[in-house]
Amino acid sequence: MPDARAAGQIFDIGYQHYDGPRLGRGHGIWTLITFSFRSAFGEGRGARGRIIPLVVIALVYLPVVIQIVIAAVSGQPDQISYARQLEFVGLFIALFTAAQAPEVIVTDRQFGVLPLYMSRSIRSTDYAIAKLLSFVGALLVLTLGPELALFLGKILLSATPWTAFRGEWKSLGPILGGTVLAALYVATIGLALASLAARRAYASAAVIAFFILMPALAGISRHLLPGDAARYATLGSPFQVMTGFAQWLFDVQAGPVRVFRGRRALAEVISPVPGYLCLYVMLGTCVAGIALLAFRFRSNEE
Amino acid sequence: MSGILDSTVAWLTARQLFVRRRLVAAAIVSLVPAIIALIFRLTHAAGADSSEFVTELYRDIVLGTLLPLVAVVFGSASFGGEIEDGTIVYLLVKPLPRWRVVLSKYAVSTAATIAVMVPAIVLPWLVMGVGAVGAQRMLGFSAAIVIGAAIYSALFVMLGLTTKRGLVAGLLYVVVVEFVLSRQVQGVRSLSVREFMLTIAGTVAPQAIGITPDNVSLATVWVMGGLALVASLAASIRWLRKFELAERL
Amino acid sequence: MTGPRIELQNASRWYGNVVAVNAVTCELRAGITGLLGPNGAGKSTVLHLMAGLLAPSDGQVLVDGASAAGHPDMYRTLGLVPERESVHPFLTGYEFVRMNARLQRLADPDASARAAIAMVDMAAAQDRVVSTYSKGMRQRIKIAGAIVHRPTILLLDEPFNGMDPRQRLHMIGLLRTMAAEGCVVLISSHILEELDDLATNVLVMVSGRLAASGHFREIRRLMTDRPHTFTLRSSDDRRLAAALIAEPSVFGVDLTNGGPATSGGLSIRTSDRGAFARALPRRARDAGIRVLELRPTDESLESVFSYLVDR
Repeated sequence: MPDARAAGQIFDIGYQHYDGPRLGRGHGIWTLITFSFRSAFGEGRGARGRIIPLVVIALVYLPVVIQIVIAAVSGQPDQISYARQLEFVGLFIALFTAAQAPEVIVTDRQFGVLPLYMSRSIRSTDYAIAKLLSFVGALLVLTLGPELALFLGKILLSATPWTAFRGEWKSLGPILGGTVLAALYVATIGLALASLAARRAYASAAVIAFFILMPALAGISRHLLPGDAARYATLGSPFQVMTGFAQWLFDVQAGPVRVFRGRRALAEVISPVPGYLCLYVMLGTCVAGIALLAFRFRSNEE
Repeated sequence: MSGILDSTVAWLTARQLFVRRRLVAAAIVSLVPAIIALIFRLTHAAGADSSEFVTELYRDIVLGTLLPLVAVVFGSASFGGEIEDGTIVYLLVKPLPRWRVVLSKYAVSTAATIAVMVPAIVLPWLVMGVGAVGAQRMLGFSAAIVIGAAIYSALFVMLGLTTKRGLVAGLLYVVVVEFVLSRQVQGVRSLSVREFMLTIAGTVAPQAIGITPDNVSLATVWVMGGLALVASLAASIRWLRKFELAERL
Repeated sequence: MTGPRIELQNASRWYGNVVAVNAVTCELRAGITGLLGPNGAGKSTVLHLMAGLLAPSDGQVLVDGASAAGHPDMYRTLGLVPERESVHPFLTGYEFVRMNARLQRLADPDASARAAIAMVDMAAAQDRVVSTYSKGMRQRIKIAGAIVHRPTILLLDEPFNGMDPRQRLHMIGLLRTMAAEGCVVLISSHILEELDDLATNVLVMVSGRLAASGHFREIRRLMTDRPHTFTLRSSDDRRLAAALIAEPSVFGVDLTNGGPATSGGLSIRTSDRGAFARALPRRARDAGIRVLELRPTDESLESVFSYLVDR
């Protein structure tokens, strides 16, 4: 006879109750940070998703290689300029952010995965913080990495490395602080804008539009501000702000104008605005961006 | 008109483009140049020299920044999502040649762009005082808008249709060609729609607009611009004709 | 050659290495035909081939004698109800149907739209936006859009998805009326029972091939009268096997070997599932054998269709 008792029983078919140790909130946050950091470089999106990150990395490290080679060949390691690299990198981290910030912060929303995250031990503010830290980390690869490479180049190419190091190590402070602030600045702009969009394409468009519009508006405001105040218009353009900041940070003076193929070299255009103002603008923007992110990802728990 | 465009497709595209959010953003875009002009009026004494300001406003803000952005948004939205969610099928199983579908959507996208951008030229003209700007300059830049919108729309409709990330592809084109290359590399200027527009504006109002001497020639504008327009539309039509509805996902 | 007609002549369609439709030949005439098959069998592909949305990689697809693909005028007399449920979400139901009417160049699109909406019983909801519709309502408005121009050929891809029984009945009535007026109606489905009492002829597709075609009742008889297999474990397989082979409904018993000492189980083939189910407990009890496990092994639709293919 077929077993009649089987008709009324519920079988445990494999969904096991877990009573063991759980890693908890901190580990969850760390995992999210590392995962988002990797997706900022296109991991998990196939070969196509890696193109832009890798191209940007190559382009950003290219001047580093060039500077080091020139210094090695000419035997003048002090020609290596931290400031120029920081100014130069501004455009590229903006491009990187426009392409990759949506991957980091919009994919979860676009594919309806956010509720899965929020029903774990991490809270929504943790989520926002983790995303921000991971993207800042990604940008640090583009800002801090090249600067450290230059630093090492300066030291190792010098005739007396130890003396050079003793002279140079003070630069580490500005390098670290400057690159972290630059990364934070662009990261908060990118993530705050991207978090407003529901689809990655729109988020990218918003970030690109911002980086196109702000310089244009800054340019036209030159005419709107009376007299001497017109030079403060450059504070409206993120690229000018980063340039001014870099020059102030590394104390770049107006040097002799070098003419290369009929054009003035980039670094010689000294920012008309005092550098500490650029610092304040960057800090203010970071605060505003973080506030926006905190608002959007505010905790809904009692 | 009825032979080339289809009014129903146009109606549908208009409904797709003019969602509330976009209309609000479009209104803002139309008004921003006028607001900037207003600020200028308020901060400067009457009779102050506004010539350079106006040229910069028109050239850098309206033509150089706002127009490409608006054209990208409308252009990539004209086939927006229809291919992705499959609702394009309702346009395809009809006694309607596919090229007419493409042209109708293109026409609406262009018209929408022009409708948003012409006020961005005319309103500042009114705000600054019609004499200060001059009707010729206003008309010159308006003509530039029309031509630029026509070319940009064709490009971005094509990008929206043929690429997965049409919106971003269009913006990247704008950034790379218009902003980076054409300012650094001389030869690329004959590929820049912005330069085309400036030439048109300069042709209509030669005295009023300060055009740099190495601008592209009018002939280049017609040839290259026309080529870009026709090639983009042809590519879009060809893509739609070869489009086959995929098996369900 | 009167009346609307669809013909597939050795039509195939492949995507790279994947053959979605494999040398299918059939002819459809007035009346309701069912296109049956498991998911992934190629039903949607066949429908899209007939609708001219795909070109065949090989062979021919003819609608009313002319090639289906690349022929926009054909759509004056053909309507398609696609499977994906999306309709432009920002349109109202009425606007959607009227848009279809206008694209079909009808003389009075408004009246035609209202008539079509009335036919699918959506008059009450026609002025609501499609994004507020339930799945069944969306299906019905799609059908309205497809019939607004009174086509003589109607292709429906899984139309009853999401419809409740009352809506289904109404739709069946509508389709029957159209078929009686001389239309070619093709309904695809993967549920045999859905087409019960609706389709006169049926085409069965499995893995891209036409596995069976013909009268619906005949096909269904073949499919349900097929032999069934069961696996069984008991306390004494060999003796139970001897007892069962005496049963008239059983025509094959195999001992599946699990080892010399252990009972590996039996595999039983029977032609009458009901009779077997009644006979098994009786035989087992009479022989004093305890049945430990009994499982049917071929209830899946695939096996049903495979059986047809093997025949």
